[in-house]
Amino acid sequence: MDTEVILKTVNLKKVYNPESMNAVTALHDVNVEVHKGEFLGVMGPSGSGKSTFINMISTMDYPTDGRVYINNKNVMNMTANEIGHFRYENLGFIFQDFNLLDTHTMFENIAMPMTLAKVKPEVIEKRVNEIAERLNIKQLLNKIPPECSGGQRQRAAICRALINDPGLIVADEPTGALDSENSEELMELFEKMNRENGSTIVMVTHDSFVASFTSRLIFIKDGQISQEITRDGMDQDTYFRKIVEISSSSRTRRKTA
Amino acid sequence: MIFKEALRSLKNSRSKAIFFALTFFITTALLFVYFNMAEAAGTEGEVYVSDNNLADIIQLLSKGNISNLMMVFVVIMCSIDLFFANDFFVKNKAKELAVRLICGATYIQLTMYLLIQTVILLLVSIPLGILTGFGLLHVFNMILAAGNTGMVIGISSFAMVEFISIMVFVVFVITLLNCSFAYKSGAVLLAGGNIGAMKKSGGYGFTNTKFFQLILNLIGIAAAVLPIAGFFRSSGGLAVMAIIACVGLDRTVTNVLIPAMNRYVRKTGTKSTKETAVTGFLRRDIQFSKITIYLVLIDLIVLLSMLSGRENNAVEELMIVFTFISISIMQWMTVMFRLETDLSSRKKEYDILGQIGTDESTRTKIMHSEIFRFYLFAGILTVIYLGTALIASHTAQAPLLAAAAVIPLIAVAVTTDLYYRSVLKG
Ligand SMILES: Nc1ncnc2c1ncn2[C@@H]1O[C@H](COP(=O)(O)OP(=O)(O)O)[C@@H](O)[C@H]1O
Ligand SMILES: [Mg+2]
Repeated sequence: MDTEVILKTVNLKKVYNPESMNAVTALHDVNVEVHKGEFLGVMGPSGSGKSTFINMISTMDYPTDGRVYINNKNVMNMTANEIGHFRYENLGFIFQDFNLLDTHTMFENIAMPMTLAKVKPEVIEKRVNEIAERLNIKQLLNKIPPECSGGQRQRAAICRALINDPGLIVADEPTGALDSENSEELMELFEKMNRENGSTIVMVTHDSFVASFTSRLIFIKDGQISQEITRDGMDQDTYFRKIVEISSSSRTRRKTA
Repeated sequence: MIFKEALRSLKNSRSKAIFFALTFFITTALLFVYFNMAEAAGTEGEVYVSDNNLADIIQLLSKGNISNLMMVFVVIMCSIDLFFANDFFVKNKAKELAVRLICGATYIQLTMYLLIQTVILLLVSIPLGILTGFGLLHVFNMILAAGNTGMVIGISSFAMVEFISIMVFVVFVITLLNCSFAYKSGAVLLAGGNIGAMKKSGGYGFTNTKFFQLILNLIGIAAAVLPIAGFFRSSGGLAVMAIIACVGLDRTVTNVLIPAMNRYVRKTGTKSTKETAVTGFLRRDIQFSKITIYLVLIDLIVLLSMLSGRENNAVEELMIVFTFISISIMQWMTVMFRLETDLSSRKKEYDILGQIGTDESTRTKIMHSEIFRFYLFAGILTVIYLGTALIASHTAQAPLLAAAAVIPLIAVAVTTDLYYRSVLKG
């Protein structure tokens, strides 16, 4: 590909609790390049290291070994200040367990990244209402997260991640708590942001249909990349069937093993 | 082996255990000294209510044996303090308990598991409290002797019976608390609920019209301010005034302060993450802990009214001042426990702030600011309510009492800050 590489990992390795007896090697030798404007999907069985991987590439956690480059800059050499700026200016991160402030209203939660970026209050008010409307949680803006359902909280987390029109969206199973209708709405929103704003998206999912919206897909198994496919002009249906095929073949392999 | 596991759990929550034991220690010392003093003060000659007429009751309140009046009060306050201390101690064990419950433990086993931990702490703090009580009585006798009052506080057997039965009662209350906590946390967590979920703020249900809200707000403010006028007339009615004041205060907090904070977050907060974060946390802290602050105010004003609204002999006066100081310490600790119960799960919120890009120094500022503003809120209320009451009371001990109210507040604020820092460090 000839477009700019905005994310790159080199021999990425992550060991949890390295000093202790129950050290877990969650990732090893992962080399991935993400190009600007790409919509990359990550699939794999649970516990395979998907969350670990996307936490590494988005400065949420640091590798044990190997390097992560964001915009050609080694994450390890970035100052805390730079990382903070990167997070609220360029990155929209959707966490698997939502990570909303239970002490603050949905509105305040969603507005937080714009506040950090020092956007004007009127603009914030307008943007929050717009995006909340789009994701069907406008009527909940004055509630606190514990008063809302899992799906509603997930949508609030998505609003917060997308509010700054981030250049890079990283999402960990963003449709995990959503019904099929809301999932499809979200995927259409992602596609639109990808197409119109040129946002780069990296998304973990275990849903083959959701994965069929991506332009490239990597499969992780036991902390390593086991397979990779690109959509390459395939129509969504064909792409979807191919994804189902790969995921089920890896399942039967495991069964017979 | 349930005993060993209880011991391990106790070790893991060491710092919380120390605070719990400390509350118990102070309670023991207070009650021990209190009952013996009350006995000594009561030998003066008592007024009896003959045929239920109001004049006699008023005379009883103004001249009679104050120990009867204060006893119920002191015991209730101690129980409330122990309730919050116990709550603080066991709340973080809710998950632990739920897991045990799922694995088949019975409620009795869960209660045992909590009780073993509490009893160990009681075995340490009660003897220490009694020893301290002896020491304090000795000091008080020296003070009385120096003042040539001719009064001595002895250790009376009747006081010891009262003391022991109250302590048994208190331990019984703690047991009940633990039973119900074990039951509640198990049930709530099994149902997938969130114990910490905040109750909705404000609102009067069916009376949600704007005009009605406005009237209620005004009444709230009036009720909160009115008693200040009452203080300047200084009488036994102070206590009642204090309670009315706190009801009004609560209305003001719910209907004026919290909505004002909401508006503040929406306006100023959108310009500064720090303000959004701090105000949001503070809003939650006040809603969660306000009841304990009201208790401090009511208690101290009631005690003050006992000191100034009637004639006391030397022992009574000493007893009230001593109770004032102990209750102030205990009640501020209760405020701290209540707040810390909530703060202990706040790490998640600060981590999230970091994840969306708030840098560490801002987070530290947010934390200090949250604690500072919370105790400032408590401090301002204390100055307004207790301050006016103190001025109006014309007691010679006013400076001592003011110090007794403010110094524990500052100490508790500093301790909370240290505790919070350790929570956020993880
Ligand atoms: N904070 C952590 N501490 C220890 N081990 C962890 C931690 N997070 C993840 N792991 C382990 O790393 C492996 C990969 O986890 P994760 O990346 O969350 O998988 P996935 O998201 O694919 O389900 C798992 O074996 C998991 O147990
Ligand atoms: Mg995961």
